[in-house]
Amino acid sequence: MSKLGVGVAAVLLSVSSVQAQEIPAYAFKNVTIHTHDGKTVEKASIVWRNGSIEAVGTNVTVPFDAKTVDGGDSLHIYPGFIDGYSEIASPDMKRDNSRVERPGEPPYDKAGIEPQRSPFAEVDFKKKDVSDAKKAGFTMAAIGLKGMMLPGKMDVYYLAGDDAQANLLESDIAQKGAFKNSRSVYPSTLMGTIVKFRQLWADASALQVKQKNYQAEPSKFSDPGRDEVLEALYPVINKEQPLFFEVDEKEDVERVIKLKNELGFNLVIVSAKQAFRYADLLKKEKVPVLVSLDLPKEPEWKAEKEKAKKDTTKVEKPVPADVQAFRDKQWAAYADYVKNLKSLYDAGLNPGFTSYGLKWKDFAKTIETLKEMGLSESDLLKSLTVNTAAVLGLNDKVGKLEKGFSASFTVTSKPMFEKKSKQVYQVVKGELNDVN
Amino acid sequence: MKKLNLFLVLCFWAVTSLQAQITEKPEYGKFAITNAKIYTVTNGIIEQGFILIDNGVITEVTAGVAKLPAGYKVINAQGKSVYPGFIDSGTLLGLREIEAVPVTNDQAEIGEFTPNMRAFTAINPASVNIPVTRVNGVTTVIAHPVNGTIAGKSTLINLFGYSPDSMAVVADAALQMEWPSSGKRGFWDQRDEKKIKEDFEKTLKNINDYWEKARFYNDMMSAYEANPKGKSKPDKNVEWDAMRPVFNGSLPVVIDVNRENDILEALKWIKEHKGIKFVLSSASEGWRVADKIAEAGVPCLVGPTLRTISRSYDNYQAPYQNAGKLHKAGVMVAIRTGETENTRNLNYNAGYAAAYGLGTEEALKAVTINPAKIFGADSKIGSLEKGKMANLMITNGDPFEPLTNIETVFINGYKIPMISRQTQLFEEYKDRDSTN
Repeated sequence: MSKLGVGVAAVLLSVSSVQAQEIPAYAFKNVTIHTHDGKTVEKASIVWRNGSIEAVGTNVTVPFDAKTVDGGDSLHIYPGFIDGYSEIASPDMKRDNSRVERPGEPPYDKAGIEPQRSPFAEVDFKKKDVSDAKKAGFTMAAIGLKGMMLPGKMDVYYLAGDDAQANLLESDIAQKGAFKNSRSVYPSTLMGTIVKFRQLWADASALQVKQKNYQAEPSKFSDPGRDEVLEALYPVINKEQPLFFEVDEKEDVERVIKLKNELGFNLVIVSAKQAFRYADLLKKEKVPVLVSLDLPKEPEWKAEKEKAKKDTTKVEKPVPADVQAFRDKQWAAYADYVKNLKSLYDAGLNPGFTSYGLKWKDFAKTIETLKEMGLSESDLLKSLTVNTAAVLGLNDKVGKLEKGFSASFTVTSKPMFEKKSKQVYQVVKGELNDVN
Repeated sequence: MKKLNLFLVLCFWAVTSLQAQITEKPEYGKFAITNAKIYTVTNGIIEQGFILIDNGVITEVTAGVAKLPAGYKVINAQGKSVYPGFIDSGTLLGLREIEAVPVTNDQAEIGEFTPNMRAFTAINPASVNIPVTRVNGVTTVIAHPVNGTIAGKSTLINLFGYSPDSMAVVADAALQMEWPSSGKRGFWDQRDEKKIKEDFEKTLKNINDYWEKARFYNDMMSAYEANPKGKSKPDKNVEWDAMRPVFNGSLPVVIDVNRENDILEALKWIKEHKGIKFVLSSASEGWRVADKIAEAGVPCLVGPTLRTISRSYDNYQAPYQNAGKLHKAGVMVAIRTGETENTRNLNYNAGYAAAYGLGTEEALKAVTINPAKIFGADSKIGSLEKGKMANLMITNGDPFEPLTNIETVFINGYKIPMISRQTQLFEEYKDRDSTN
């Protein structure tokens, strides 16, 4: 009977693993292609097959087996944007108010140290922020779980359907980290957190050595046992995986760079809202950076002033000198933040993008502000595509509209960052979705 | 072990129940039906004439008295009428035996789009429902699958034979499709107007996506077949392959649709798909939009006519009048029962339609030549003409009248024993006292 059961199971498995057949290839013709570095190619065609771009450009013959959409010279294609560090699809942090016996020596999870956690089991692609990201033109995201000091691993996912397995592009690409602590147990301060990082590195390094020794000569050494938390840190310690570290302020960046140099790991700075203060340091230390576009609010008087300018019936009241001086300072500070991304380019860096801290509904407005404040479209597109792909180590697979790259792109009715531009299609991993 | 016992019991039951099958064989060869009133359908009524049948084919339909060559078995039909065998344009006959017994239900595969399902392959020639139906003069039926949106292909079969092959008039008669409802599904349907509209549009989008892919597949395959040189052969897709005859216009598409709004939506959709033969089916509210259906030039498989009204304020006669109103508007009408074991009531469905506006002559066409034309079988069946298949009945009156007896039935030239489950039960129980 059990044999029969196995047989039935085998049949079921074999049936479910058969993939639905699809159209062999697809193509868009007579479209305007916007490349990752801001160039445009008009009257172009793009052909893709089995999830990869097969041909692209103006001199492309669409093969007979490609289902073709004629753009009629009115559609615009952009490479799918990549979110380099994201918490979309992550469940919210669990509230755990249970008492800890000895708050000075809490278990790892209580202290927010969970490097063994994998997003794969917990991500939910039905969440609204996923569809928001897709609407904003994103087709992939490196996703980690919400948490504190070490919230877990990061995976890269396509933003296609609801199935995490089908969406997965690359797993375990990095560890997440931050100077965040639980406040109710050790470590609860910045100094404690830094000590804890050192301690974890020391513990994990020691355990790794002991395990190696024991494995080599079990008779000579005692069994050091296993520890899933410390073992999850091995790839970072061995420099096989970077640590993506959320940090904004200059002092904190200096602290984490010190830790990096002391402990020896590959660091990626994430968020970096004040990077204009330490762009040179990042360059010197060769630390890649994923920048958050969570901008501060524009000073209120600015909008009022703009409004007054348009209204010609009113005569503008002169602003008192001290108020003006304050406004000038405020504007300069605001401009620093808004020009943050630009300042990194000016320093010769290739910053990527993170949606960390960003509200998706502000995305379009934010892009508009960045462009108004001098960021070029080519730099913007690079951050959203190739730069981020490079930080994730996927720059030979995704981020460009070139032959052999992943067929993941967004099709809009007008140039994407123009007003009234609408998404018409989105192609993710070769799958064509009619957005309307 | 218990299961095995049950299995043996079932086997035993199956064997013993065979005794209830009809054992009398039909006659075959040369027949002459003489002195009959002949309703040819296509060539009017012959008040007194004869019909010669030779090995399944009608070889003569003529007025007057026959000078018979030797070897014909004579059936004197003095005072009787001869009609072509009736055709029911929509049943589950041969696919479903007993609705309440799941193992005898074979009409619905699981899935939204299964065009590759062929009712032909599933027909059970030994169905008890078949003799019950044919002894009432229904010689031929459409049996169709019913699941999802595109269920598969219906089959046009004669109701006599020991295999689907020997029964088939047109093995694949039409592609069976169910139109998605754009209204409330019933009083229990809690969705608001917006949600209903959204759901409908989503379903329609799915249909269009699927349809366009299938159409592309046909174009692609045709392009390959026309000139395979320099092209790699695309993989065969069994689903879309099954739809290729639709796109080259050889296989009609039967769309099952009832409500006024749904019919209008379906007609709109039909208009967008040129070069394809469409047929509406069921169409309970067809009379509300008869002009529109006529304008679209789409035939209609109306019925059942013996049903209750769809809106509480409708006249009770509306379902009976439906076929008549459609015909008056200029629609080619055929009649269907949508039945299984009650398919024999086709005669009375047609009879009601005749009495409520369709007229006897047109009602007769609606169960003979019209369905034959719609399903591309008018060269074989649907009228009493020289060269056609000998599908006919001899009656003692108007077959639309319940009191009329159908006395003799020929199917494909076989003179069918007038025995069915019902006559057998009648025989068994009519005189119980004689044995105990």
